[in-house]
Amino acid sequence: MKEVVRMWQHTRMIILVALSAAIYAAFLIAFKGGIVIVPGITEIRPANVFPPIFGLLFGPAGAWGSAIGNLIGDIFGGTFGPGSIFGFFGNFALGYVPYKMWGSTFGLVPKDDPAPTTNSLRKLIAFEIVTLTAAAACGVIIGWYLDLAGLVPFAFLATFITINNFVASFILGPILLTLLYPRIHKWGLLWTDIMSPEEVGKGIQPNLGAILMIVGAFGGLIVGVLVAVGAAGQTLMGFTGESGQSAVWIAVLPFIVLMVVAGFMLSGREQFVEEADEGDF
Amino acid sequence: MDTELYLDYNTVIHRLDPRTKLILFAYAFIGLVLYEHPLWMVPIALLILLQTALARAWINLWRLRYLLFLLTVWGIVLWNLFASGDDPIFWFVSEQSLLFSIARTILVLMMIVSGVNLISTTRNEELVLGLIKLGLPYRVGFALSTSLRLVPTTAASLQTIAQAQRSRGLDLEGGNILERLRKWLPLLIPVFISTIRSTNIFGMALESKGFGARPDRTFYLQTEMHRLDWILLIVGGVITVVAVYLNLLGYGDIPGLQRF
Amino acid sequence: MTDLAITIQDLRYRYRGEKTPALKGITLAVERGEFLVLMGASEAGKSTLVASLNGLIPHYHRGKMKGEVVVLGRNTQEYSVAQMAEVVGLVFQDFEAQLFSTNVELEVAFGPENFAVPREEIARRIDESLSYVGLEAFRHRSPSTLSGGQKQKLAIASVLAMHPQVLAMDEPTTDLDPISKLGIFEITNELRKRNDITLIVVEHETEEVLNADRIALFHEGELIKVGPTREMLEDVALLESMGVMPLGIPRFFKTMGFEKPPLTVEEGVNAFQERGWRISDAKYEAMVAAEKADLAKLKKPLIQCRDLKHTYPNGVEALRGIDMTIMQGDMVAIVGQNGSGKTTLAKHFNALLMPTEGEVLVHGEPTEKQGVFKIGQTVGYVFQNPDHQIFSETVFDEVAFSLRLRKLPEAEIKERVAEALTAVGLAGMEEDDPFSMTKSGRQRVAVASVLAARPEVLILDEPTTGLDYAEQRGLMDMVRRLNQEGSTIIFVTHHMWVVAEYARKVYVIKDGKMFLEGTTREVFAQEDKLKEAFLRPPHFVQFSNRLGKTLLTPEELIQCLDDA
Repeated sequence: MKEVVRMWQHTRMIILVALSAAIYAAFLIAFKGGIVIVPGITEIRPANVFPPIFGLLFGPAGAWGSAIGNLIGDIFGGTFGPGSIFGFFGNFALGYVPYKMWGSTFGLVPKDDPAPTTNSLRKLIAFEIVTLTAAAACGVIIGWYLDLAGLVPFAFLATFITINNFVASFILGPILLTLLYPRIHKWGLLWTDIMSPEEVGKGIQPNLGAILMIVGAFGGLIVGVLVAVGAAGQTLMGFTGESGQSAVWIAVLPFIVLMVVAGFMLSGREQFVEEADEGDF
Repeated sequence: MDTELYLDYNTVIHRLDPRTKLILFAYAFIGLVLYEHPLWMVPIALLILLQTALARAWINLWRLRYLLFLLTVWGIVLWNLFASGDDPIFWFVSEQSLLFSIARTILVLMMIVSGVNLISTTRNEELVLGLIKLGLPYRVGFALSTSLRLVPTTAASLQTIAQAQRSRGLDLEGGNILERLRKWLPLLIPVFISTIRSTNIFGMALESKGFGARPDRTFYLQTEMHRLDWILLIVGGVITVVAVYLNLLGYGDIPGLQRF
Repeated sequence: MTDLAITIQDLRYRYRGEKTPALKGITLAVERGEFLVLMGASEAGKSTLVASLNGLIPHYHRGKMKGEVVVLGRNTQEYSVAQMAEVVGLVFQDFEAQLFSTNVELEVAFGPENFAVPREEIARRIDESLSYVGLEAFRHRSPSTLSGGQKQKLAIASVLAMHPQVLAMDEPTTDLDPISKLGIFEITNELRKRNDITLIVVEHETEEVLNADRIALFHEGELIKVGPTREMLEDVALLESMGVMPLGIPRFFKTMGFEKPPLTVEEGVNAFQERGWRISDAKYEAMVAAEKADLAKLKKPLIQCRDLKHTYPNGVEALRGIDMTIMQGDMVAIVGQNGSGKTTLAKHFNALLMPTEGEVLVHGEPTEKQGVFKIGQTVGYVFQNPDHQIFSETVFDEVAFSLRLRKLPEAEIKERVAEALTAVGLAGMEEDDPFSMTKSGRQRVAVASVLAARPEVLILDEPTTGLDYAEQRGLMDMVRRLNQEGSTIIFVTHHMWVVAEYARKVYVIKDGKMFLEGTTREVFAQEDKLKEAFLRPPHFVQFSNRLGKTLLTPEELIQCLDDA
């Protein structure tokens, strides 16, 4: 988590935050008034492929950029409201989870070639795992909060956001990453080019962290939906209370805490590789 | 592309310190989420609309009319699915759930109006400066204001790119969802590449202007808290505290409402 | 001993991941108060040199540096970029990427703010800098609402506000129209007169550098020659061989055997008259007649505008009644100031925009009836910035994009792509990565991807912007070849020399109306009217106008000289 703060020392990381945010926001605004599913809260948007891509390429700058981009999309799109607060956190997670988990995907990403791209089947699977987890994390965070604020019911929103995020990443992500990675690498704009490993949180048992993140994201989603749709969830959680809504808040909260803990356990340092000396000239 | 919601007037609301407006926005949020019953929301809603009137921001609400209309219809129908009561009206709608739906709809609408009030009367740089003075680190504030500046530019290049690909025969309509999503690639990639291409120049220009040269830094733009700012903050604070207190006493609920 | 502002000792630099160094041992000294211009083709190392003046190299870029750069006693190896920024100001070509604020005043305040200059002093510097560049009236505007020229002026003002002692500008005028260019050069001239500022400017346009003290010529990372401006500009052959556009006037006189050719219009006219040379009326008439006869062969109208008006949704009237006819097989230029409506007009030709009043006919049928997808096959449009359309992994995929959308059989696609790539000079590069090509390479890919659809008409929006002289020539020669093979060419441009050498007809747009039209010669003969449209012909054409005839190239003048 350290890099999330330390990155602000690097001019280029700051610029990447601003540029990612501007790209994301520009697409979000272009889609406002497009296919509106829950008006004012969320829409079907291909641009949702961006946060995981930003995250994998630009690391913490991508996470911040996605969060700020979503906020600006709300401001310019006229949907600035209470949803914007956790829209910020949700989109932050959508950019944060992929780069943190990338190197801890149970050996799918080789240690000597951690480049965030989809040039092998193993990496492709890793990509789908991290983006699906990120999608669910984002959905649970936003859904939980908006349910808490009494704006939109959890079951509906969390599922919808998760699916929407994931569909965009699943279909567009690998192609985008394959095309974009070589350019960003060439321009020296990967976050691992700009930051140094010491600035990145060491993490504790990152592989366990990855598992906890997955449990947190999907557990939160599944339990939340079960609780919200009916008695099954309430008995499951031992609730007999009259208010189903507060059951959702309480049932999902531990999973959110779990995700935050996992966020600290994961690292990202695995992605730094020694640069070969290019020789004298 | 017309993305500016800021209205260049000189109303009493415009003249307030951005910090005041940000805090009032937060008050409005707290005040609105408390109650289940729509009648209890009316006073706060009226205060928000008063702010809109004083700021002469109706024009922006008018611009968002379709969105607001959709939200109204959607909200009033949807929330009945997630609440029920003892006095059914028809099908899944009961008296209690309808009242609740109206309250939730007012909540969403008023939050947006409150957001519009803030954005219509506060310039980007004032907003960012207000946030910085409320404790946001300067570098984060800088990233925020830079992205605000870049959005219109990026939106314009998105438009040009869409035109360029259209003239090459790209038709975004039609096809199943998979095909439709994939058709966005010719737009997503050029926007990304052409924007990120300038990152290095951007960073060079920034450092060349002494960005981060020293820990202390002057702010040319100034914001000042006047008497009216303090009055509004105190009055708003009192209203919010009273609202919370009444809610804790159990006022504003809908008797017999069941929420799922 | 003279007072040196900059000393560069055997500077070598290689960017990370590159095989060849960008700079290969540069040694150069610049005096305090001097105005030095850096010239050279793309990739010559000019921008790298500029970036090394304030320590961006070696601190910002990752790469290897050798040798040393000392600016006003500060060695860039030992001082940080922020410390160097106190004495060296940098202005970049890309004006979008160097403005950070949402308001003009705050943009100027940004630099001084970073150095914790007191607020009252900042206010004073804002006034001073904005009035220096003539932007006082815009102080509360958002930079995004300014024109390109104004943005670049703002960028200069924001750097001047930091009171730099060395000001380096990297191609500040490349993306600007002629009159905005002039605006920037007026500012440069003011600065030149001040002896407290040392000016370093990278520039492509030869006509604009006449006021410099010295010119340094670069080629592939080496400093070829540095000398007084006059001496450098006289050496036409050297400039040309280094990919820098020589001036037309000295080019003519060199061909005529001058050792020390005149440079300016004034000098040229004097020298011409001193020699007692004359332009033969008969030869001139014959040339004009031949040109007219050629144009008369074009009989079939292809694009017709009838009282074309276009008002944008935000109420801006971009076109206010245009009537024009473009013949099949013609090669025409559309020129005008920024914001005159020329791009809006061109976008009507392939139905990207529809008239709000009046009509546009392509092959006699209104564009509104045909729509962009159908017209796209007849009229191809190459956008100004190739990065706005390239998205594929390989050149082949990029060029095949519109063919695949039109579901042509794979064999035909292959054939057409090969044909288009041959036409733009990229044959055999099918598997290359378009993103890693140079700007001119990407421009060619963009043209090829439009050509592959075999359009009858090719519209090019600012095709030569951002390319160096040799690349501009290469691209335009290729376009002319397409025209000779039967394509109709329409290009929108700011580069007047390109118009002079390549256009057969010129349309001048001013405030959304057709201001002037005719053959290139007819239009360039009317210098005063052009000035009203904020345009001016190249020096050489001005020179020939002063001699009483409009001649577009030195070759034409030689052809029309009276033998007697």
